[in-house]
Amino acid sequence: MEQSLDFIYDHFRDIEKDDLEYVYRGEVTALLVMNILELAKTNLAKADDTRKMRSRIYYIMGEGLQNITAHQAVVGDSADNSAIVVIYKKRHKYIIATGNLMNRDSEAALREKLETINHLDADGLKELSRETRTLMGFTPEGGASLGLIEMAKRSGNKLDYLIKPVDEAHSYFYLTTEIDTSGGQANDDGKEVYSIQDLIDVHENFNQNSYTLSFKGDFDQENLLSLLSILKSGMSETKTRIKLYGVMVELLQNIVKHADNKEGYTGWKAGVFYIKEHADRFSLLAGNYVAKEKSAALSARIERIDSMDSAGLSKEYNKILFNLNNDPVSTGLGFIDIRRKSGSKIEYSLVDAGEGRDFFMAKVDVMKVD
Amino acid sequence: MEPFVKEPTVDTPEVHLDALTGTFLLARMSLPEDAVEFYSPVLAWFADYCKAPNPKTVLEMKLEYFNTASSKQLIQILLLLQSIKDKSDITINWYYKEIDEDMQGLGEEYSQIINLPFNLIPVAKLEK
Repeated sequence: MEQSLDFIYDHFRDIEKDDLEYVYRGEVTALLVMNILELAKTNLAKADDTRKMRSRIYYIMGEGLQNITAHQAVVGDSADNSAIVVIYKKRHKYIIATGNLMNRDSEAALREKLETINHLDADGLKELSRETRTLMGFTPEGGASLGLIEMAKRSGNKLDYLIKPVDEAHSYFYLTTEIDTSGGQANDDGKEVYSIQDLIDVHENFNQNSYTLSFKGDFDQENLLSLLSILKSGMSETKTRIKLYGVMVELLQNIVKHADNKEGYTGWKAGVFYIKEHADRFSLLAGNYVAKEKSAALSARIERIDSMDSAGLSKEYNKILFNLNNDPVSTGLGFIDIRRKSGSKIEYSLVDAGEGRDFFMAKVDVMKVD
Repeated sequence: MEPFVKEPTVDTPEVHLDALTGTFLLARMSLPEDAVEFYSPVLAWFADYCKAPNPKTVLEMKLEYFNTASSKQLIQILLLLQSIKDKSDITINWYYKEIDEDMQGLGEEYSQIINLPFNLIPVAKLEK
């Protein structure tokens, strides 16, 4: 039996305004790094941190991501072959968490570097950074260790890491860096919001359930465009990608335009989105709040569209296309387009989310056709 | 009549409309957040053009992708052109990437619901 969709709400429900959780599992290329940074930048610009703080966070994220491209080992068909990237924001704390496969013979040297870094205070890090910069031209790995030094120096925090053996030749290297934008002033007892264990759990969940991407946060046009760029940079252009792209635009613009907001969340639209990749298909999953009074009409509409065959869908599409109401919010074509492009039914679920709202969850399969 | 030119962005198309040179081009991506807002000056331009069209009008549709919100606006452009088919010799050149079944399908569908000659043109890559 197919898994119920309600796990989406369980994952979503603790969200608060300005939170962000972005997870990617797969190959990390330079282009992808650029697109993930773009997504981070868009979201940083919305938070009320100072410009100086924003550029610090952006810098640390860049170093963390480039660290993967510099170090990742490549092995045949290992399940752990892909890297994992997490960008997480909860209240005043930002986390950049990464995981990648590495060769075991570099393990000792990496451990030593990290221990050295973690035992230095701010002045010590400055000194080490200066020394490493001077030496950089001479050692091939100098650049990479400078990245780690800078991450520790600029975050003002220890680099939390774990090296987990995978097989005789490879280990998986997990690293998290926390940036506290309150400078430790906020009253949260210094509680960690994202631990190494959280990263490992997410990685296992992503591997077991074939996720390649998840995004939990604000759904606006800019984030939508960033997610689309990430899709494009992670996949070459095929018939399947064209279909995925089209379904993704309609599914996400549906959230951008229709999601209901919590009280006081003006200008911030909470939603969640996942991509799963299976051998024969992709699954796109999305969730957002809807006002309770609109739920019945929404489910009736999906049921109706799901019951149509391709001739019926085409007829309905043309009927709405010529309907001249210029409602900028709703064209009424989105779900029809999703059905036509994916060739699948729209699976959905609604659960009570309190305060006059339901949480709407939808899943669409896009078959691999190439 | 003044030409209408808009450079493309990540989510809005390149638009180049010039009655003098006989250029009628829509290209690249169209997935604006508010398609009505984006297309309203485009539709206004076409409405104006339809008052005194050239003897020949060739609309070059080179869109790589358009969302459903844009499709409603594009159909309005096609309907405007359909309304002047007695005054101007109109052709719609509908380009699509060979591998893009959805764009091909839309072209076929629109050619049936709009009473104008369509050329469906598969290309390896959509050039400007």
